Amino acid sequence: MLNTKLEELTNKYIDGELTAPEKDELNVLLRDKDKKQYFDSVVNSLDVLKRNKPAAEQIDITNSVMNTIRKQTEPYMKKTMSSGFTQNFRGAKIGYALSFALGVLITGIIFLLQPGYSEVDEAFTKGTMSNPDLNRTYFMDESSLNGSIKVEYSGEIVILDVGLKTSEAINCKLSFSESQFAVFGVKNMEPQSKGNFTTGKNSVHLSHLESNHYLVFLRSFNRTPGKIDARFFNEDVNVTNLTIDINY
Amino acid sequence: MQETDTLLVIEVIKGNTEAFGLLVEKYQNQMYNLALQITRDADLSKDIVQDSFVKAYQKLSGFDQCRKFFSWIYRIVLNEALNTQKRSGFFIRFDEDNPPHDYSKENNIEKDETSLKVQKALNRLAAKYKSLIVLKHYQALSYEEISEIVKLPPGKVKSRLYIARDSLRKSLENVYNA
Repeated sequence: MLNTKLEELTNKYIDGELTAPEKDELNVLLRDKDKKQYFDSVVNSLDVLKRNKPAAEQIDITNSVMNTIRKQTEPYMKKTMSSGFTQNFRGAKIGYALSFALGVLITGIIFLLQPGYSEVDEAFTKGTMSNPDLNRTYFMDESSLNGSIKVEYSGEIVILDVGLKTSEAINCKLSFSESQFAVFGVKNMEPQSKGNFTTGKNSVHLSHLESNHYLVFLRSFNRTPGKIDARFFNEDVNVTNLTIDINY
Repeated sequence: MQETDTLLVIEVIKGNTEAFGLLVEKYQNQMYNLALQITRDADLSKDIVQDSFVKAYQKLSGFDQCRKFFSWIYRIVLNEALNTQKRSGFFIRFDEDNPPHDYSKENNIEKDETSLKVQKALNRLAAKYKSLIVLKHYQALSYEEISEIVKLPPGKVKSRLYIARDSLRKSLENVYNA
């Protein structure tokens, strides 16, 4: 069984942080054969580690990184306005004013040509539960998170389908405004696994995403747009954050 | 150093994309060696560092300028390397005709075998312990620097590293006794 004091002094020795009294204390402990064996094995394992450190190397990937970035941020080509319209209207102010007027005219024509709205048959909408036009999926692009969070709507209920296959133990905290949402329910679709969840007035805590699939049901009080903050973390280490837009 | 990095980050956010190239140039070797120390695969490490820098650029607008860019990019590369290695199943190529990249001495078989054992022992550690071992003993970072990277208080980093060292000791013993 490990001696905690021995462990502490051994690690301080490795870090070069032993005080003079601590050195004496360590020396006394090391008179014991088992403790000396432990001390030697820790020190030797680090020596082996350091002796087998990969040799330092140099690379030059600046161009390849920047080329990738440039392709992603290439600005839209500025079109040169060589049409007769701009050639005839040289003055900037006149050009902008006439462009604006033309825009209004075109918009008015389009508006007038629209068919009139027909009343939606109430019988048709009765029983309609979800609005697929609002549904949205967030694909997680983090190296330790693989999967997606789907947002679906069913009347006043917002459903978050949290089905992430994480490569390490990760928990998730969903936070929202209690004036906009309330927890309606949470369901673990993998009841055999060790995951659990807790709920509060303005948060839902989901544990062990690596082996669980949760459905989180929130009631929207006013069916107005809002945000839900999702924080993913492993013990005390934050992995990533995601802001989920609720778009009623 | 931090002020220069912060100024460069601000420049990039303002739209001067090319300023990011200076950050890449500054940190590419250190990040590459970090990835190499974790994966021991030169080509994979290059890809990891490239992807990490591109990812960092994409997320730069959300970067907290009170933090050090150095700690931030370190964390991205560290996570990317650990997770890439997990996905590849810790595959280590070893061929007597084509020894691992960092050992080119033909007759140094004993050192090659030891290197493999060390790598095996390291790979068996949990990611949170392996990262601390690499950051402290290969990258030679201080507890404060490690604390900023892993976002844990220095005291917790220390206690976790103590556990990591003991885990490494046991892991090496198991590998040698196997």
